[in-house]
Amino acid sequence: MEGKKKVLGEKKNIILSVLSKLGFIILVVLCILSVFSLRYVFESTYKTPMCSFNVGMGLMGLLICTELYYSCMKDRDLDKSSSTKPFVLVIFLLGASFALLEFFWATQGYPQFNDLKYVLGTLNNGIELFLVYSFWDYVRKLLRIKGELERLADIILKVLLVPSLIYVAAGMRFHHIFTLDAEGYYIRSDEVVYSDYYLLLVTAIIIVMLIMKKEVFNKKGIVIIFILIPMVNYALIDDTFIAAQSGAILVGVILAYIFIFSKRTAALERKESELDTASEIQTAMLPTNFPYFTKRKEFDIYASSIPAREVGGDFYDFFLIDDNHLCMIIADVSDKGVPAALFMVSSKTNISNYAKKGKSPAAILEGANNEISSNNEKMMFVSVWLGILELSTGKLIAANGGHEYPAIYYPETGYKIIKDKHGPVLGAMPGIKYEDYEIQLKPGSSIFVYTDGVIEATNEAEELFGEERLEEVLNSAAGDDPKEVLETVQKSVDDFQSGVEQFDDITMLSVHYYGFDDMDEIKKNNEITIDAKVENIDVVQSFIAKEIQGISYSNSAYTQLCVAIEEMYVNVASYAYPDGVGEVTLKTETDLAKGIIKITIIDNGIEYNPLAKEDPDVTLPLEERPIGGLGIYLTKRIVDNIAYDYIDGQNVLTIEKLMR
Amino acid sequence: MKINKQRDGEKLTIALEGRLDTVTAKDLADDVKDSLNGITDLTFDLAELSYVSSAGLRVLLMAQKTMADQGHMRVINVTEPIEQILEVTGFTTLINIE
Repeated sequence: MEGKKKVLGEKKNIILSVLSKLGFIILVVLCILSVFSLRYVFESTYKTPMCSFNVGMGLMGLLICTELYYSCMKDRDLDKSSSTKPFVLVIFLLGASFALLEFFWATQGYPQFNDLKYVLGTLNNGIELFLVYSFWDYVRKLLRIKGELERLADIILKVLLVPSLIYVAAGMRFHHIFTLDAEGYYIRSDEVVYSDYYLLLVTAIIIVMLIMKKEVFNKKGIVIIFILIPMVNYALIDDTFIAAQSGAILVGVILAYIFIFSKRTAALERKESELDTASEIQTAMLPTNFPYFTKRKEFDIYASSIPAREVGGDFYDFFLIDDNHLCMIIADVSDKGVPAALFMVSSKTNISNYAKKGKSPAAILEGANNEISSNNEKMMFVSVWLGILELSTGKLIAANGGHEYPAIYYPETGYKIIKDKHGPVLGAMPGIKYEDYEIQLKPGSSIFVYTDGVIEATNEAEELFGEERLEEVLNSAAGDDPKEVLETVQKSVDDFQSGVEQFDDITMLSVHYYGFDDMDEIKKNNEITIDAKVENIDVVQSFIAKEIQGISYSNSAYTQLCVAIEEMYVNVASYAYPDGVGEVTLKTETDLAKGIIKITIIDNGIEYNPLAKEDPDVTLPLEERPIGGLGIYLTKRIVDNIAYDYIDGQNVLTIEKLMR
Repeated sequence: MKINKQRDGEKLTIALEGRLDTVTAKDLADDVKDSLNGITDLTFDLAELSYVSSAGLRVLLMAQKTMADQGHMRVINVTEPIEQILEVTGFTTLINIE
């Protein structure tokens, strides 16, 4: 049913466009004919000022109408409201009326045209009636008059049009509207009032509507000009079918055109600035301040999004769910413009929220789909590819909701587009299940995901960029870092579609996985041995500062780590060797992926377990607080794990701290 | 560590800059002991202090005990890492932190 309506709508559009072109051709032909007919004026013996005036006005009016008509026709963006069509019809009818008027006055005194002039004169009378009706049609659509009264008025005017037209048509036979004498002069009958009645009726109805309708003044003003100018004209020049009258209407038409035009410009400007803002907000939602995760050595990531025009519906996102899991999202909303942008914002928020809950990609898409489709009256969709990369193992788990196939790079085989398992796009209906799939990345592997703007880029020969070409281009950039890969693809797509306007948003995301095991810094072990002296605390602190590099940590965590190490070290330096001579060894083990540092402090001094010391009461009031005894307590409180052992004559104290 | 003192009659402001650890705490302890004579209003400004260990806390506690008898003391501009250390040790209830 929907489809049928659409086809009918398209057919109607084609007919309208053909008709509008036909109207223009007719007006142009009339212009040419009118210019030719000027010769009759020069050859005629009948040259009154009235005649010259009417011929001139007629010609000028026709040219102006043709110009206005052309502007309306060419200006596709011209106010798509329903009042435009009757307005264009008014211009057309007015132009035709001017042409006939010009012809009539140019051929005054040529009796050989009498038969033709009876036909044309009658035609003109008919056109005037249609003009009045079109004017009514224009006004009611401009002011958006609706309701019983409007429908009734329209029916009355339509019905009255029939007898009026019959009356006019009968004039051809009975000459009761005008006659042409033997020398070809036009004589208007005295009782001609038919079109005046019709105009008067329309005017009366419109005035009633104007009063009833609470419309902004400038729209009303336009209508009033339309009514007043002809009325003033009637009052001043008591004659129909002279150019001044049509000229008066023309002034109204031009004013109306200016009004529509200025309104439209303002509306366009507003729309553009709204789109700009939407575009800015949208861009601000995407992570764009590359490079990210500079402290992470296991991977490198880059992404870009270039909207085709205005605002697009593409987006990407990436974030660490925890220290070991990188989540990557690329998505494409099915529409363009502000609605798509709004939909994109809510989709992105939804998906990211679910992703941060630590679920699997399929579960994330399922949850987000339920959320999105439960409130999706506009029936917009979003295709999503979501992958979670386990950084310690290179295991990629992903799910695909109707999105393009990802390309995976292995150093041995190059880039290959993987035909992964597909679920439906998100937003269609709730309750859809998605499936996870797993890809094992090797150190040196890359992931490249993109939106349809890449493979559906079209060149001048209307060929698509396609997956094959994409694979070729990717392989030409094999092994490059993500930023270079994206730039290579972007350039290739730009070259491909040079000379053609970019049709769709082009969004890409690439991750290069350097691997975990071949990074000796990932789990590094180090140790120093120094004289157990309090003064050496600086050496200890700078050793820790060096060891902590590569871990992402907060300032507070770092301060706490330093405090803990200091307390334990000072403890050893002060008490382990009663004669003040001895060594202490510090060993570190850092797990960059988990963000954990483990420090072991070993000395050969007297056996002493600091953890056995009783905690001070930190709730005591000032007067009762002992000055000392805080260090060990403080350390226990700020580390995540602390253990003591006495092995082979050595005190071994181990501290573990999570640095995030 | 830098110790910047500013005295105004019975009012003393000690601004600390850098790391207050076991070694530097000794200097501060000596300095504070000598300066508190006749002071009724003591302020520690920790805006530029990047680090404090229990040795530093001991100095603060000492100063607080002294000032409890002869006037009052407050600590201002405490950064977050240091505030967390103060909190763990219950110092936030002992010392007037602004």
